[in-house]
Amino acid sequence: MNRIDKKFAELRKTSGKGFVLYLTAGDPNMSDSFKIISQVEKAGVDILELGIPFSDPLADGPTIQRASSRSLRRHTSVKDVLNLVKRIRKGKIDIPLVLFTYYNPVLNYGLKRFISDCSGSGVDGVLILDLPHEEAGEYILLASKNDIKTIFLITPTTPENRIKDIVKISSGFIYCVSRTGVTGARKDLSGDAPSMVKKIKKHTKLPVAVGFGISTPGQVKEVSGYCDAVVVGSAAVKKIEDNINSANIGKVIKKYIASLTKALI
Amino acid sequence: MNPDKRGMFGKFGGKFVPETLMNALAELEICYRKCIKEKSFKDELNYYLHEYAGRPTPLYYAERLSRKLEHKIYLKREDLLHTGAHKINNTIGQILLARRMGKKRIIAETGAGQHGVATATVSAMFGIKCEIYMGEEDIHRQNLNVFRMNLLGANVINVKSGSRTLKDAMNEAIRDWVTNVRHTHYILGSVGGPHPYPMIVRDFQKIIGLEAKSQILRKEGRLPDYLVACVGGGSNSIGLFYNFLKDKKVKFIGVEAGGLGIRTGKHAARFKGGRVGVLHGSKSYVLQDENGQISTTHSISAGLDYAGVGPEHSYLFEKGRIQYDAVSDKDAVNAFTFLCKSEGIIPALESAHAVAYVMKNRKKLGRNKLIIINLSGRGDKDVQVVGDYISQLS
Repeated sequence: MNRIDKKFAELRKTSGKGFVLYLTAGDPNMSDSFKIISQVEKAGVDILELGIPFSDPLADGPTIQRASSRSLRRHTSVKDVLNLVKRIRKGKIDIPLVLFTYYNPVLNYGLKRFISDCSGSGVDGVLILDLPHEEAGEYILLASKNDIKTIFLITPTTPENRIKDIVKISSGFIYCVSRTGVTGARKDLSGDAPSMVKKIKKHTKLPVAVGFGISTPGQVKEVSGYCDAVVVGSAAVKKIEDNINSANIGKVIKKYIASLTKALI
Repeated sequence: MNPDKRGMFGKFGGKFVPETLMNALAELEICYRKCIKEKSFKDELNYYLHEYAGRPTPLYYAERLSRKLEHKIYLKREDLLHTGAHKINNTIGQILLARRMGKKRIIAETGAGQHGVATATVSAMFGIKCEIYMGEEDIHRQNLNVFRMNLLGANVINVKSGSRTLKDAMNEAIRDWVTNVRHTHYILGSVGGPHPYPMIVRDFQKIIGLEAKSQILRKEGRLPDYLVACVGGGSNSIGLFYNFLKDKKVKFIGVEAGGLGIRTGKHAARFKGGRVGVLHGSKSYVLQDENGQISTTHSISAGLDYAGVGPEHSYLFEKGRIQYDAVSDKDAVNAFTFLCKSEGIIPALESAHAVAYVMKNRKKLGRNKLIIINLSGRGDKDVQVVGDYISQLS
């Protein structure tokens, strides 16, 4: 069974909520990236989204843009990220892993080769930000053959007929973007999200994760009240940036993440 | 040709954007398809193109240039349009669409600043709030246009990310649009970006070729042998070429920015050094490295300094219908000064690339050919850059 499905099945049994963490792979460098990742499961993270850095991340705010630049300064490639995943699996870390990317690095690597190498490396799901469902035919076919979950975004501007189409080709979970805009921490949460989750749930039994802008324990608590999993990205990436020179970066980040995961209801 | 339902020209084009924008693109396409059928829309568009922008533009017989290059050369004078470039053909069309969609705010990206000025201009004319994204590097080299945009009431936002040029300005414009999509229309300035932009911008620019065709038939009684235009994103070239594409005897040359030379890697010649990729919402030829990261480009001309190209160009390139070549910064500057002295016309550095191609390849083109060069913009904005370039050489 795919690790993502298994994780949500476990959560369902205990009526627990999931915590999804986004980190940019290779930020600030591969060895620290590995150190941090080694700690996140112990900090209560249920699913890890690893970002493949791209030179032109047009759906990301400044924090993740800077993380991508840091990683790209060391020329992190798709291959490097897949190697990182292999290293994680070799280290007996069994956390469900989603690769989060833009389409061009994947297209350049070769879609078929990418999906097959994802499967061979221990990746459980893929989210390609700029690949809407209309363009995703081949990707979905390849992914389902290789037991890779295909995660798609649903946003406040997605009309109901599109929601129906998107949930049909989604697997693993649905990523509900709580507001229009790029990634990044915000003080106020969007009011759209609870009704969006309800609308999505009308059309699918898949778990719904809510993200974009969530950064504090209070927000984690609030959001976990109406969905199956909470996604935190930029806030954690910012914490890495703030502790870039710390010798204990793995532990510092672990402590911070734990303060967030504890807030899940 | 028109793209298919998914917005594809063959295997190029499409809508490779974050989900947040999908609905806005659909809304834009519906509005556009409805408007172009309406007489009232067409009348309004024509009214502003003629009365405000100054269409039709002359097809000027460049006598001294012709004598020197031993061809019969006409210049399509888009440089004489209001704001000084072909860009206003598209911004007038799109602002009329924005008004019909009830959008309260306009954003745009700009490289050379010509599209920014054209967007700021039509926004001022209709009293709509306007913000223009421009890379820091381009703000320095096209400072006159920044001042013009400010005078026109637009807010120019300095983009400091990435290579600080057009590509990054476009990233920021898309980020803004993702955030404010409900009340903002993004006036994309070229035939790139996600569907339906490549189709819409081409349709608003094809007036160039429509006029040129009837003008050349009137003046010469025959179709030209060659049409030559520079290709950044590709809007002025497709605008000139489109109505001739079915005329089998006409040849087309798209001139890309060769920068410091193809071998140096410091250029923007997508059809020389690029591969198929996805940038800013469409699949097309893209300059990228071995890992699929977008390359930093170089050209003396800010308007051609871009890693991607409109998808219809990639389609026509692979079909062999348009031939693409590149000329260097140096050749472009030579053509710039040559046109100034031989015709009394200061061309935009972008357009100077097209002139440079004909100068360099005058023998290769054959003997005494009938050629139309698209003079897509005027060069007032470039005099400082050219001055600096020449003084560095001496």
